[in-house]
Amino acid sequence: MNVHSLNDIPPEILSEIFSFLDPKTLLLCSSVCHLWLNTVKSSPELQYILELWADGMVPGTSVLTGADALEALYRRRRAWKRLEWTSRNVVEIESLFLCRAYELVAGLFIQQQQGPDFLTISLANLVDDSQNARATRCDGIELSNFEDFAIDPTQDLIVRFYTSEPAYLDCRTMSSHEPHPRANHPVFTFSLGRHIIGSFYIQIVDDIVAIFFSVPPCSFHLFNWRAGFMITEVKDEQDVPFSFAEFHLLSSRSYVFAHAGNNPGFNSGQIDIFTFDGDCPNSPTNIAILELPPVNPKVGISSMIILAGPFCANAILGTPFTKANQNRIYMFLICYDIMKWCRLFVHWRWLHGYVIDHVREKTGPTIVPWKEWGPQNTRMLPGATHQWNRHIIHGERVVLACENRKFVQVYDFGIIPQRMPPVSQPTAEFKAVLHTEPSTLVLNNVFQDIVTTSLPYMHMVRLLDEEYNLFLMDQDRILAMNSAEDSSHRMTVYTF
Amino acid sequence: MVLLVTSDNEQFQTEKDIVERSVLIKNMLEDVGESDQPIPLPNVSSSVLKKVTQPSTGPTEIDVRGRYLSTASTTVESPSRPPILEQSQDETRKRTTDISEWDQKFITVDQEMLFEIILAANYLDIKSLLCRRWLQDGSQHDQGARPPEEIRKLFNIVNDFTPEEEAQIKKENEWAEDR
Repeated sequence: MNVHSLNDIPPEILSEIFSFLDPKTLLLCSSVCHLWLNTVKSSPELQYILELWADGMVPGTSVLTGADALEALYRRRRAWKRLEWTSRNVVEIESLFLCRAYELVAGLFIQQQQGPDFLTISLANLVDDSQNARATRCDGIELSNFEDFAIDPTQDLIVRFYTSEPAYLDCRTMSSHEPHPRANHPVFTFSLGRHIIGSFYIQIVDDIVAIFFSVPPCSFHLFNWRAGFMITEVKDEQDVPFSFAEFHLLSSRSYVFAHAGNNPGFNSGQIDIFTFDGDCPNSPTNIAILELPPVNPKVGISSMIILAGPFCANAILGTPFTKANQNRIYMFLICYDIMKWCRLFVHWRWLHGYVIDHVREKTGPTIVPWKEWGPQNTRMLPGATHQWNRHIIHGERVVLACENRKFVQVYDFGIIPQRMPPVSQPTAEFKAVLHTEPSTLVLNNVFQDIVTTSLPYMHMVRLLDEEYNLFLMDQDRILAMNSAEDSSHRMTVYTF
Repeated sequence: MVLLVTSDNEQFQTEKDIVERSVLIKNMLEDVGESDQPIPLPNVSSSVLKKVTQPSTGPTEIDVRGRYLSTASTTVESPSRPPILEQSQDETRKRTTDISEWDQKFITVDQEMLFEIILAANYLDIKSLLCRRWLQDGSQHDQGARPPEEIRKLFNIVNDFTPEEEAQIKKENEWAEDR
């Protein structure tokens, strides 16, 4: 048997081999010759690999395959591109404006109510089985000193935080409310090290739990919840306390810490990137300092909030596809002086790229001036005061209320401009604008130089059937609420 | 033990659990039942069979494909986009290296042998052998998949695109470069 070229093997083997390639290599293979191009183009399985990648998603856990999966993906893409939801459901909740704590992760909306009751809404079930989608139960949890919780349903994990002295974390399963079997010490105590608790938030990324306290002097704790120990406690002990600081885990071994800067007089602000070892107590290592646009003398940042979607350690059960953790947009909401707000958007992969460089080359802390990273890799847009709600981002999309409460607006940074069909004519109900050109942010007398940024995005505005002033978002839906007293206990779920 | 006879009439005594990785032979054994009769493999030469049945330290199909299908955290990404959960990433990287080394060894056969192995694997229905990451092999080292010219050279493939077609495809695929 004489074979001289890979093309002499049967085409079905070729496509079988291709199915094991990563999307990028697969795309390259399609430009090798006609046979390979046709093999890739004519196989729904291979097209699915490519299109899923283009949407920044990974396969989920449901059984859709080949052409069906591809069709479902296209349907979903069309729906989000035009903000055309496929179903609308209204569900009773306790007003978010009053409730103690709530979470929206992996298709679950969870709320700790005023009493001991715990509300769980399976948002996916709302569409098919609305009777059983909503469940309230009393887990008999300890309520004294209970402050907040965080969840990762893909690990069946709920972590509750108690501010007694000493403070403690309680790691349980969401399904049965038992101590979590993967936690060596499901309950472990630690010293808060601060008197004023103020505002704080909890984040879970895989085996790490972080609690960040933003009231100066800010501090944060990192824990490995499985091993059951505190990795580090970082306190701001500078002579000049940070006028603001914000923290966000980038991965289970890295985080960003944004603040005004360590040098007196340097108030332009910076984003520090740190790595740490999650497997033993240790101190984080600063690997990069990204400077924000230089500001004029006497101008300073008075507040900053970092927002990004939640992390899931595993694929979401029952979904045909899951947004990859890598495809995330970070929004830095920055306030210069008083009331001069702006939003800085940057992709996770840009921030985390410094972590990769560090792991590969053990580079020391790199100071990156704004001009070297900002204009090309970010988009800075005018902003407005932010509400306390942290769930306005999922993946590469951001949902915001409009001044006209009948509308909702979505920013999508996951688009690929080269692959976008021409934007349709605006109507009274819907308008979409693709922004690929650089734009200049104008804030009176704030910046030393003109701040021009160019990260591409799509901005969409759609008319809704009711008025809302608060939106949450996850992978497949927008959740809408109104703070008006008579309607704040209702949540409308638009599923795409 | 199972007795296999190759196209060039060589006989092989092979462990049952190794030959049963071949769906073809597994089915044959089930059809025949307990028997000492040799199993003829008219489409497989002895040199290829040696390769195909050598005790594999390489990954099974589940391993390789599983990395793509499993989770958001350990999905196969091009090396420039490693997974987000760095602990899992370490595991992935370790496994990736294992595969790569195994592939490396496996791939150090000449082209003819390589294709014969692919065909034999197809004939014998051994999925795990079909899924070697030939085309990605180089990408482990130079942080990028092989460019099309190199793939063509590696596999003796003639570029049958016109320059216009090639330019068109390049343009269509441009978006992927920085992802």
